[in-house]
Amino acid sequence: MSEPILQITDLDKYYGENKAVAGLSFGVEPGEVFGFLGPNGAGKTSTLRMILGLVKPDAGSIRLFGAPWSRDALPRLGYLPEERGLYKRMKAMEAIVFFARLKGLHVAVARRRAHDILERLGLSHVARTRIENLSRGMAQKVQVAAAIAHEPEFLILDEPFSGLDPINQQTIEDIIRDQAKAGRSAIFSTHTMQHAERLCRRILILRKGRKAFEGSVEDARRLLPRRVRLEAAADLSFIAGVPGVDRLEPPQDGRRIWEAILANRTEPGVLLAACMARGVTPTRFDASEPTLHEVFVAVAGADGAAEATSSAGAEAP
Amino acid sequence: MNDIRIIAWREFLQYIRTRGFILTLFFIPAWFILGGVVQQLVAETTSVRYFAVVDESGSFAAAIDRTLEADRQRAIFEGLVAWARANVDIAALSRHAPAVAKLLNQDGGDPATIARFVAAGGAGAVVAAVVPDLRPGAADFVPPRANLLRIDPSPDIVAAAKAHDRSALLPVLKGETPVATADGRVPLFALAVIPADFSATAPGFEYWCENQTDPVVQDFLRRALADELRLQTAAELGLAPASIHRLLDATVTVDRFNPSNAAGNGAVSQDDILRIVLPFGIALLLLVAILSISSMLLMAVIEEKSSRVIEMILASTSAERVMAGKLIGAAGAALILMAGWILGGGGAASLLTHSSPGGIVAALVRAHAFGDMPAVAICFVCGLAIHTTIFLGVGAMARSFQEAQSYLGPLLFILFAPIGFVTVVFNEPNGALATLLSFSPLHAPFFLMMRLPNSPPPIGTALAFLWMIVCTVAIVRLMIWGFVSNILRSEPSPGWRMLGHRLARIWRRPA
Repeated sequence: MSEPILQITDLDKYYGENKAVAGLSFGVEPGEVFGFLGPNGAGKTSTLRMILGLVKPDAGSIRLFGAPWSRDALPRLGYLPEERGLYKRMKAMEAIVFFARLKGLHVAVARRRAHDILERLGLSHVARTRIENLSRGMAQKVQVAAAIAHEPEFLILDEPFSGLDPINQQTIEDIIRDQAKAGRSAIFSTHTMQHAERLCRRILILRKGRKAFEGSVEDARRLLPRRVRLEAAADLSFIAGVPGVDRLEPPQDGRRIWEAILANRTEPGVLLAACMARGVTPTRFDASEPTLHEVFVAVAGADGAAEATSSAGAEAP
Repeated sequence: MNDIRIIAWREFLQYIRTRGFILTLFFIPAWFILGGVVQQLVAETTSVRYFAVVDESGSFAAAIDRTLEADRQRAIFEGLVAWARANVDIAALSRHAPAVAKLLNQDGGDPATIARFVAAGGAGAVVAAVVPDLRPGAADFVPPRANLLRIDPSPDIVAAAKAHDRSALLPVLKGETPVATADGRVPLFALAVIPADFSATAPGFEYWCENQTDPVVQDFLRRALADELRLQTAAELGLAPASIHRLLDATVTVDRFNPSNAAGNGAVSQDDILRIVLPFGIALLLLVAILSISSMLLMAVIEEKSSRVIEMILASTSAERVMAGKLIGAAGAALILMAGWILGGGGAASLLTHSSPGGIVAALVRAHAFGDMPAVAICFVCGLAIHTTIFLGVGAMARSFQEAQSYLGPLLFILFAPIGFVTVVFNEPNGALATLLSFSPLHAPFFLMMRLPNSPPPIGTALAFLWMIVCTVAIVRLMIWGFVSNILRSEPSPGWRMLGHRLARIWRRPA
């Protein structure tokens, strides 16, 4: 098996008395798009900045490209900061060329790449426009272009979708997918779970500096008990006795919808089978999986944290 | 090295493209030219003051005219000397017409010189004598305009003056009723009434003028009348007229020598004065250049911090290399600024003195202005390194312009406090204060530069240079540490209370 692109082990970071990151360990595999999720203040940006060497860890180790962290790895990294990090008075083309050259590209190559990327992003017409005169979406795309112009092997994106409209969010998603298709790895932090669901195979949820969950998106969904909604004219209270049903909530407000909470790994089909056995035909059977958003709220939010974290211990690989 | 070069080039372009930089670049030469042009304009456009004298004694008007003519010839002589310096090959003139060359080298303030000038035929004769030695493209000599002219008052004015008729004199002295002169009808600036008993024992005269803030006519009349009273008094004492003139015209001339001057057996020339004044000017220009560039550097760092550009850059290279790039870029901009000012200043001097650029360079060579260049260059590099790194360090510490200003206030006070001592250092370049300031880390580059042409003690100067270089290295290293430690800091600076707690914790910590 090949070495992970990034391997973090027992990472700690303090700001004064406040522990921003505590005992964090995870890895990113070659060609993988890794979702780094967590609420505000969870320690995502601190971790990403430690990977880049912008902040020194207080404990733990970071390995990049199979070797201990060193500045020599920086040209192989691409970075998109959370806030727009471009010179306001620089022109779009100049900005991309400047950062690409800092990563070691020859000026002619940097210009050609900048030109190609701007064209691909539909920004050729603003190549000579100052950053301060671009819309937020355009500037963010120029920022992304500056992060990928040198074709980094590992892309670090801090909240890349923040403040963008759905069309621009889709463009950024496409860029990340293109990176993955080209065999490059990426890690991105976000609050918006849909992006992680669409882009990542694996995610990590950070809560108060600690890992609350790490695993596949499917595993994350299994953190929450599955709910099945059934509607029928008959009495469905017998479902409470079906093996694998943890709890049954009877209809409320005069509606005929019953809600069954299944135990872990119980398939919803057992309910349908039980209904058939009783000769009851449900007029509605809804067994959709919990969304990543629901998982995130449960795992990273204050209320559901204890429950989800205990499940995570069991589920995380 | 490539990343340092890229950052340096971007910084350099960022500075030199700003409107502020371009304006600053043109400011000094423009200020030079403006100063000269304004001076010329004032000289050319100041209106001639026409004045009248009602001489009831009947014996002073002629004396006033004599003084007027002497002043006029002195102004022409001084104008001629300045014109000759810029337009005549004096060395060739000394061979071809040594008497004229000698005359042009004499003090115009000495009445004997003016007498010799008049006796030699005045401006016309001197200009004719120097024609063979005029430099190519020499300008024509234009005599300065007379600024004082006496006119004969009309009988009405005389009558009004004698009768103290204020209402009759008012329209005349306000310019509402112009008076007739050879130049046409002009406003009368002032009127003097010399009483019949005007003498050394009763030396008062009346001076009528609506403008009481312009003293030119009043001072001239006082001087002319005082000279005449002295002449009369001396005559009354039985002195011969020739003796009286010798007495009154006696002046003292000074031939200055400096034993350190090898040329001319120690004689001090204009070139020596240029050699002393030039480093002062360069030191002051360096101070202005450093402040301009450092301010831009500070603002750029704060902008990079607030816009998080610095994170993007530091994701590619180290803070030390970023700082090195910034310093090199700033140094390049400062060099352009200094070079622009010096070239522009030279151009302005060439324009104002009607000299060719080659003539200006020749004057600098004669003044040995380039002899101190290596030492000046060391001062320049140290001054720039010290102050730009301090401003960079402050920029890295601050989260906003307001915070930076709070740090800069005390720093600028320390930097500018010794400016008040510049005159003391100029007068006593090797005195205790000048020596002390040469060892002050923040000020040494400027004050050492100022002292260089005054033959400072070699050992003391060598020590001061060594100390300056050591301090520069120490300050730069300290500021690199400050920059690297703070450039990514976004949390507020610790308050006094927090600082106290931290110090107490360090104090209590067991060894």
